Amino acid sequence: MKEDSPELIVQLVVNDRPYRVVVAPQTTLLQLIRDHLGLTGTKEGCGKGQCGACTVLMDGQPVNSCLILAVQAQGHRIVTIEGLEQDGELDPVQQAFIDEGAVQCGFCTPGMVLSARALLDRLPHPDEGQIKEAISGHLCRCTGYSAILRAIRRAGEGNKPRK
Amino acid sequence: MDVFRYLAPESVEETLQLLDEGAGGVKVLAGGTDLLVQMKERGLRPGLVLDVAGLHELRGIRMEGKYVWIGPLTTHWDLAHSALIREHGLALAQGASKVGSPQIRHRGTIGGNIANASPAADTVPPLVVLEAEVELRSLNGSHWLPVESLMEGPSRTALRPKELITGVRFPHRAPGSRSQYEKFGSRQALSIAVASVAVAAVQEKGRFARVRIALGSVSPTVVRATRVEEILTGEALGEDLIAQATASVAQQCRPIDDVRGSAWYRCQLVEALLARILLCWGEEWMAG
Repeated sequence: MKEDSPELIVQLVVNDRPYRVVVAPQTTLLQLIRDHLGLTGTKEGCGKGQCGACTVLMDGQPVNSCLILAVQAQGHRIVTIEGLEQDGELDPVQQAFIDEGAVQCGFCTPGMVLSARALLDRLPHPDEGQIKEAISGHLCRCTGYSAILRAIRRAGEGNKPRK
Repeated sequence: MDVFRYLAPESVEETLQLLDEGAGGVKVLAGGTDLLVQMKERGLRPGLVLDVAGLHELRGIRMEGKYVWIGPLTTHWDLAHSALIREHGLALAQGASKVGSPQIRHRGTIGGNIANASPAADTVPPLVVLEAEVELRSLNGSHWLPVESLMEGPSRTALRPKELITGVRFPHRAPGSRSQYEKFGSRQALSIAVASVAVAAVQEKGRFARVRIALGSVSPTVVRATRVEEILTGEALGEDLIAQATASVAQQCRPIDDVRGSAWYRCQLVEALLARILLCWGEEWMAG
């Protein structure tokens, strides 16, 4: 059993790097990522799982980091938006968002990109319905979604299997 | 969120021990998609949070004798994508696929959806029509209780503070049986049901041999539409029968007016959702 203490130790892997972090029981995974690790690409929108701005990948699956206790990430593998670029090269999804002008204020973008990445890892060539379903847990108040859908479709068209 | 004690027990036994010592003020944490919202937004302040998410024995879907057994920690995502669930209880896979968003479905669990006891819970009407039961375990032993009997009111269940949900099961599909779930929300994702309907039926020689209908979001708990079940039983599906059934279903509801819809609107919706299921089945039955 884990130590019954106001300070808890979490060991987890974020963007392929192992971390050991001391947190309070009520610290969320979102707070761990932003405040403890300084990875501020992950955003806080609603704080209750409705907007998707805080989305990160946990063992490859998109999750709302605002609704997960930091201590629950013990032993798990997290990917944030900062973890997609490899050797100075943007992920094809990131590049497609730029090419299609799918970013306006940018607040929803990190979460959108991560959900799209997870979709393309699972289904390399998704259809329109699958793309819409994959980003259904994200709110964008600027773009009207069309450019985002185009970007994900474009990333899927050029998709080659990744790791 | 306020500070609380956090413990992650390593076995069901240890969890039951801690629940027994806890005497109220203890909350069981699984996916956290309801509990954390309640703690952040609605002033819920448990003294102790027991994180059971690591108890692998409470996860999984498998055949067990004449039942399909589901571990209470099974996520909505896994339920929606399970071939076993789709084959034996399609309505449950459909309900699970309509919970929240992909992010919520990756974390939220069937045990949590049951324990949270929302009248709008998307897995509960399917579980009720599939005759599902939950296993409640405490230090004093365990027993199976129908999901239907577990629900006592909004956010209220027969689950006692010292009990843990340790299993969910429903009988495997009989020949000629089918089930379906229909939900109406204000949009496709992240919407709480304004009304929902689940139906499970066994068809013999073109007639309903057995029917169960459950309605969501139209009463303090998910309720059975027993009068409509009686109307359908023994009958062949046709336009007149569908009209008769849908005309009676609103009488089985006790809806409220709230921000999501008026009582009147909810009654219209259950009629439409029930008709949608029966019309869809009718076409298939007559074709085949």
